[in-house]
Amino acid sequence: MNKSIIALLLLITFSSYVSGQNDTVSNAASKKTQLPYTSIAKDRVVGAIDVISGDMLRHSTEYNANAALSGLVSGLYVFKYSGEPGSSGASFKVRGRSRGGASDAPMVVIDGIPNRNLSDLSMESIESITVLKDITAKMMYGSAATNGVLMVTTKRGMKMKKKMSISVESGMKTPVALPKFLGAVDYANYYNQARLNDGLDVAANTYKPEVIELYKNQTSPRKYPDEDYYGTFLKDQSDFKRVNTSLVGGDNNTKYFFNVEYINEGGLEAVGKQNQFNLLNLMSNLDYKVSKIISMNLDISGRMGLRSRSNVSSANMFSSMSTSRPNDYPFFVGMRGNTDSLGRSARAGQTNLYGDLARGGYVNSETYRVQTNIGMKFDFNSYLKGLTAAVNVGFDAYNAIEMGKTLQYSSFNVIREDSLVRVGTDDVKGTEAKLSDDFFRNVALNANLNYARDFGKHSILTNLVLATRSLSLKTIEDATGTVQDDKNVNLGLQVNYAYDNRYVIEATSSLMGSDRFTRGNRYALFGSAGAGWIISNESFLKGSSVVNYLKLKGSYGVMGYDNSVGYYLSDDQYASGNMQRFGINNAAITSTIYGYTLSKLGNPNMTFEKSRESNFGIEARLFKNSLTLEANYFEQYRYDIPTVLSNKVPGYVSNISPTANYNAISNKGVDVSIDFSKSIGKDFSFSVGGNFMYTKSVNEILDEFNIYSQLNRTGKTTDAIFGWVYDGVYTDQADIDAYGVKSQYGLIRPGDLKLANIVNDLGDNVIDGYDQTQIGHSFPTINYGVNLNLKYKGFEVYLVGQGISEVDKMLNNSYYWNLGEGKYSTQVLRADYPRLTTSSTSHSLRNSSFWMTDGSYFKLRTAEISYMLPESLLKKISLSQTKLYISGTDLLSFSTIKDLDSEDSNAGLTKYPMFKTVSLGLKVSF
Amino acid sequence: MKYNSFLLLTMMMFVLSSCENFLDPKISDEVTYEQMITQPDMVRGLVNYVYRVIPSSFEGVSGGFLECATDDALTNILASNINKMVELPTYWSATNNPLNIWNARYEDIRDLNNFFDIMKKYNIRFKKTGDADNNQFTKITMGEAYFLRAYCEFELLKTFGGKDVNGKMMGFPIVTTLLSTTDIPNLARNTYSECVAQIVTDIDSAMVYLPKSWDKTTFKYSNQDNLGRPTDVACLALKSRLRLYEASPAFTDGLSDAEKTQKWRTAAETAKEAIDSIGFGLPRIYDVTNISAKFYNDPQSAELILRRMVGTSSGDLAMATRNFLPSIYGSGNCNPTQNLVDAFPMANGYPITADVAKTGYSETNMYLSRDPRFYMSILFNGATFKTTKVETFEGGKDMAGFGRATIENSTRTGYYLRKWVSSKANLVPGSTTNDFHYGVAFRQAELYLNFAEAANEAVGPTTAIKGMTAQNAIAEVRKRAGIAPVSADNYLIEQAASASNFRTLIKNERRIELCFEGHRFYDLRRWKDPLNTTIQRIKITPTAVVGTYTYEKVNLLTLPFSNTKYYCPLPITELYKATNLTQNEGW
Repeated sequence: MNKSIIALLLLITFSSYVSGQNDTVSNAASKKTQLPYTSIAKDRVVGAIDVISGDMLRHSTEYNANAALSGLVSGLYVFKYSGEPGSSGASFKVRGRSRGGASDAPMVVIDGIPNRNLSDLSMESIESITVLKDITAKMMYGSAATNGVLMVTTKRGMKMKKKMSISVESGMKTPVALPKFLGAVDYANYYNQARLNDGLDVAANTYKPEVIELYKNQTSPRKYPDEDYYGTFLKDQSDFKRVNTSLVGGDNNTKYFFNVEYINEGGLEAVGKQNQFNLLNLMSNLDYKVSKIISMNLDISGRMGLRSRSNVSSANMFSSMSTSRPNDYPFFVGMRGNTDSLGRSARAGQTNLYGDLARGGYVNSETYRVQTNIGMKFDFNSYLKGLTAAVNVGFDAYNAIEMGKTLQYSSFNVIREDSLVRVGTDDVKGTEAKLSDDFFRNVALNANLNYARDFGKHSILTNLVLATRSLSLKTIEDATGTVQDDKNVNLGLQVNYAYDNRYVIEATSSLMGSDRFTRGNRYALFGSAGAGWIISNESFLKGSSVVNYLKLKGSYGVMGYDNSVGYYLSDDQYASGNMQRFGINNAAITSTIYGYTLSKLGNPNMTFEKSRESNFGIEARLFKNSLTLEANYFEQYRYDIPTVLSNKVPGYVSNISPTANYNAISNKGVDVSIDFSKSIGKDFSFSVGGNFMYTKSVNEILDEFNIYSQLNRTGKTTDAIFGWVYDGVYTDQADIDAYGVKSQYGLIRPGDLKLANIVNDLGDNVIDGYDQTQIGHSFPTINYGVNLNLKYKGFEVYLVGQGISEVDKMLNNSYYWNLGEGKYSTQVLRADYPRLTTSSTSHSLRNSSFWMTDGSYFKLRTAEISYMLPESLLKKISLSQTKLYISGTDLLSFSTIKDLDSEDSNAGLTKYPMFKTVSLGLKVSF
Repeated sequence: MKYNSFLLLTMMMFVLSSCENFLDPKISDEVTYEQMITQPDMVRGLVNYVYRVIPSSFEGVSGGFLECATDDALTNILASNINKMVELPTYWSATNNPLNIWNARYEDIRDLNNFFDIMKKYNIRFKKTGDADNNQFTKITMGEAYFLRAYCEFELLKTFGGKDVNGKMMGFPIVTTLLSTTDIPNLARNTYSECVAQIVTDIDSAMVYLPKSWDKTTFKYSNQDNLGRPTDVACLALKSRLRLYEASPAFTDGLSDAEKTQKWRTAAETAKEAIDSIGFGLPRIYDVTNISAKFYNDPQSAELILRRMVGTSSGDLAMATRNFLPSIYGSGNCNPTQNLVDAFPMANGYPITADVAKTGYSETNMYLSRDPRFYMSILFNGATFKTTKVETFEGGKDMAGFGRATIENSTRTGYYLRKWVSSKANLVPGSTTNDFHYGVAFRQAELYLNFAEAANEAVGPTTAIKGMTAQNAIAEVRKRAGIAPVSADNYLIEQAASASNFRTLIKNERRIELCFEGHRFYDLRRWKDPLNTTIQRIKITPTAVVGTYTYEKVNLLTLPFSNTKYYCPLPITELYKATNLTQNEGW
C-alpha cells in the first residue's frame, strides 16, 4: 500500500514535468519565503507565515531567542517563566490553546532538523525565524508539526569579502519584584490573632506580651530572633557578560560562517557559592561546491554549559526564604557579626539556610550538546531544468551530568539565651558524587526532490519529501521505566501552481507514520489545499498609487498529530501488583505470590489525533509601500484527541478505562500585524508596528459527567477557571446564622468570606465542591505587541512592548494565602483580608472570585538606544561598522498585580525572581 | 551523473521499506495477554491479586475503623471521610461514597473471570514435576479463585444489596464471564435471591477444591507456608454470614412469616454446620493480662478461621502509630464512645442499667468490675497500657493541650482504643519495636453469634436446631469472655425466657464481642435498628482529693443517618454509564 502511494506521488511529480512548455527557470532573485524543505516567492504563499529576522531579536538583552521573541510575532504567545541563570525561561504557543492547553508546544526545526532547542542557539547565529501557522505551511513536516512550527535558519557564508564581527556586552539584572513578609513582632501578634480567631486556647501555644517585647527590643536575639531572609540571602542585583565573535565569507566554491560566543551570568545569592552560569557556544556552517551538480554542506555546532551553585537548589532556597518564619531560628548564635556559630531550628525538617548555603557543599552541573548535519544538494538543471534534490542527515547528542558534595556542619540548639547545645559535627571534606544525569539523541534524515519551473504565465513548484526522525531520551530518574523513543516517518508532496502571478493554488499531502500505533494502523494520509488571488496584479488595480499590493488567500485541510498518544494503547496489558504474603508470620515469599492484574485496556482502533484547519487572510501594502498589513482569520478543530474514557465503560465490565480518540476542541481567532515605516529627509526614518491576536478555544466534545450542569466544561472555553462565588464577608455570628450555610472546609466564623451556595444539593446547605462554577478564564483572549524604531543619522531607538488582556489570575499561592503555621506576608495587612487562621484548611482560602484578579499586563520588553559610528571615521582605523548601545529588558510593567511579578506570581516566592536588565554593549565589524 | 538520481531514489525506497521495523516501539514494562498465558505464575497472579479483598486491617476507610461511623466510636482525624460522614449531614451520598467498593470488587471479579477463562481455553501447567503435582496445585488455585469470587460478590451484596426505587429487593449485576469491552452489555441488577444463589454456588465450588486446613500438610501444596489462604471452614463461615444477612429484616421485606422463619432456620443450620466442622467449644483466648500475645497480635491464634496479615515477616507499626496514646507518641485516632462503654455489662453478666443491687454499678466509679472484654477493648482514665497510666481527665497528659497531646492526636470522647493494639509495639523514637497485625475475615465467635441470632428468630432461645440452642451458643461466647466466672450467668438465664428479650441480649453481645471488626455499621442496617443515635463522651474532672474524679456524660453529636435509609447508595457515575441499573431507595 505504501509503495503504491509513492508511485502515485512520483507520477504527479513527473506529470507536472510532462505538461511543461517553456524553458524558463523560476526566478531565484525574487524574495523567497522559507517553507519546509523548499522556498517559494512570497507572492505564491497561500498559508499564514511570519518571518522574524535575527536582527530584530538581537536588540534584546536576552541571550537566547525564546524570551526575545516576546511581542514580535502575531500569532505567537511567549510566556516567560524563569529568571534563573542559564535557564531557557520561556515557552510558546502558536495561535493559542489549540489543544486546550496541554501538550501543545510548537515544533522547532533548526536548519531542517527537528527536535532541536531554540535556546541552544547563539542569538548572533540566527539568520531568521519563520513561524508556520496554517495547515498548508505545516503539513510537510508531518505529525509533529500540527501545533505550529518555528523554523530557524542559521547564518551561512556567502560570496563576499570576509567580515569579522566582535560584540561585547555587559549588564546588570535587578529583580522585578520580591515578596515582602512581616517581622517577628508582627508575626507573633498576627499568630496570636489567628489562634484567637480559630477559637483555640490562647493561654497555651501563643506569644505572651513579654515575649513580643523581646522580639521588639532584641535583647535576647538568640532565643527570640527576628531574621530578615530576603535581606540576608539576596543581593540587590546580579550581572552578566557576553562576548561574541563571528566570521563570515566565501568564494564561488567555499562559503563559511563561524561563530563563537561566551556568556557568563551570575546569580542573586549573597551567601555561599553564587549561582554561576558559563556558556560556550560554537558554530561552523560550511558550504562546498563539489561539482556543477553536487554541493555539500557541513554544519556543526557545540554548546557547553557549566553551572555551579551551593548545595541548595534555587527552588529550595526561595521556598525556604518564603516559608521560614522570622523567629524560627537565629542565623548566628555567636557574638554580633560573628558568622562562625550557627543557630538551629526547632521545627522538624527545617535547617539553617545560612549553613546550607555557606557550608552545605556544592553542586556543579555540566551540559554538552552537539548538533551536526551534513547535506548534499543536487542540481539537475542540466538534465531537466528546475529539478533539484537534496539529502540531509543529522544527529544531535546531548549529555548532562550533575555532581556535587554534601557537607555537614554543626549548629546550636538555643536552650536559653545563654545556654547553647551543639548538634552535629563539621565535615568540611565530603565525597563528591554524581547526583543526576540526562541524555538525548536525535537522529534525522530527510531527502527531497524539488521541481520548480516557470512556463510563460504558468509557474509550478512540486516538492516530494521523505523525512524520518528519532528521538531517544533517558535520565537516571527514569531508571525504573522503559522510556520509549519518539519516532516518525513522513512522506510529503507539495504542489504549487501559479497563473500569471495572479492566481495561485496549492495542494499538500502527507503520509504520516508514527511508532505509537500498531502495525497496520501506523500510517495515515492527510491533505490540504489553498488558494491565493493577487488582486493588485489584476489590470484594474495595477499601477494604483494607494494599493501597491493586495492578496487574498485561504487554506483548508486536515492533518494528524501523534505526540499526545501514548505507546501500546492498542493492547490489553497486565502488570504486577498487590504482592500477597502468606505463612505463619507472613514469611513466605515465592514467585507464586505476585499478583497480576489488567493494567491497561487496549483499544485496537487507536489512531492519530487530527486537526481540521482553515485560514483566510489578506496581505496588503499601501501608500507607496509604507503601510504593510496582514490579517488572518483561523479556525482549528482538534478532534479524535486521545482521551481516557472514564464515563463510558461501566465498572462491572472493567475498572480500567480505555483510551480512545474522543475529545474535541475548537480554536478560533484572528491575528493581525501592521507596520508603517517612513523616511523623512535623508537622515531620519521611523517605523511603527503592532501585532494583535484574539483567540478562543472551546471544549466541543469532552468525556465528562457532572450531576450539576454548571460544572460541565463542554461548551465552555478550555481555560475556564472554576471556583466559588464570593458574596461578601461574614460580619458576626448573627450574619452567619442568617446566611445559613455550613462549609465542608471547616467551621465558619466571623471574618470569613461568604461563598455562594450555588447548588443546594440534597438540601443540606453545605458549601462544597458542587458549589463551584465558572468564575473566570486563565488564558489571555488578547495578546498584542507594539514596536517603534527611530533612526536619525547614526542614532537608533528601538522599543518593543508586549501585553495580554482579557485574562483572569487566581492569587492563591502562599504569598496570598496563609494556611497553617505559615509565614505572614504583607498581604495580611490588607483591610479586606479574611479572618486569619492557623488551620491547614480554611473556608475562606479557597479558589473563589475574591482571590481572582485581572491578569492583564503590558511590559516594555525591549528598549535600546544605539549609535553607529560614522563610516568616514571608521575607515581610517579600517573598521567597517561600529555600534555602541544601551539596552534594557522588561524595564517597565503595567498591571493590577503590583506585589509580585504579573507574569509569574511564584517568581521570587518558590523560584528565581524575574529580572529587569540593563546592559551596555559594543559591536565592531571589520 | 545519472546514477545520482538513481541513488537518491533507491535510498528513499530503502528507508521507507525498512520503516515497519524502524517504527516498532521498545518492549514495554507490562505484559500482553499473549505473553501472560505463557507464564503460569502470572496467570496465578490474577488470583493472588484478589487477596486484597480480605482486609489486612480494619482501618480500611479514610479515618480508620468503620465503627467511627456508628455509635461505637469517633475518629479524631477531623478531615477524614469517615468523620465527614458523621459530621456533615449529606456528605455520604451517591456521588460521594467513602464505602464505595463497586469498581474495586468488579475489577477483582474481572481478574478471576479472566483466570477461569484462561484455564478453560489453555492448558496452563503450574508445576512441571508431573501430572499429580500439577493437578493438585491447579485444584487449590481453582478453589481459591472460587472462594475469592464468592467473597467479592458477598461484599457487593453487603454494600449495595437492598430495596431499589421500584420497591424490589435487588443485589448487584452478576458477572461470571469475561465481558466484552467493545460491545458493552447494559446489565441490570440481579435480584437479591439470585445473588445469594450465585454466591452459594461459588462457595460450593470452592469447597470441592480447598483443604480443611493449611496448618499441617494434607497434600503436597497444603502446608503452613500457605496459612492465610481460605479453607473449607472459611467457605462455611462465609456461607453462614451470607445466610444471616439474607434472613435479616432489611432484606426480607414482603416475605411471609413462614418464609422468614425458613430463612432464619437455614441461617442457623449453616452456622451450625460451620461450628461442627471445627468442633464445639471456643478457644480460651481472652486474658486481660496478656491479650496482645494471645489474640490481638498472634496471627496463629486458634480463634482465627481466615485472616490476612499486614506488613512483612518483621511485623509493622502502623496500627500503633495510629492508635497509641499521645503520651507514648501515638496519634490516638480511634476514640470509643461512652455509648459503647455503657454497652459492656458487669463482670457478673448484668447490664449497668439493671437493678443496682444486682450490678453494684456506680456512676462515680464506672470502670469497676466490668465485663473483662471492656478492659481488653477500651483504654479509659486510670487504665494501664504498657506501664503508662491513661490520663483522660481535664488536664491529664492524654488530653489536648497538655504535654505531647494536641487536638490532632488526642481523644474526643475521653477514651482510646485497646482492641487490636499491641502492647509489645513501641514508638519511642530511636527504639521502636514492631509487632504483628492482621485483619480478620472470619473467627469462631462470629459463628456462635450468627447461630444464636438465627436460631432465636427461627425457634426461640431454648429450642435446639441441629442439637444446639441459641442460649447454648451465647452462653459459650460469654463464658469464654469471662462473664460470671464463679457463679451462674443469671442474667442470661432470665433473658432466655423471651425471644424478644433474648434478641436484645444477642445484639448487644454481638456489638461488644465483635466491636472494631467492621460489623456494626452493617448490622444496625440489616436489623433496621435506629441509626440516629446521640453520641456521648465522658468529661472527667479531678476533685480536690488527688486521684479522684467526677464523671459527667456529655452529648457530643447526633449521628446524621436517616432511619429510612438502610441501604447504601449505588455510585451515580455507574448509573450514568449503565442505564439499566436502579438506585436503592432513599438516595
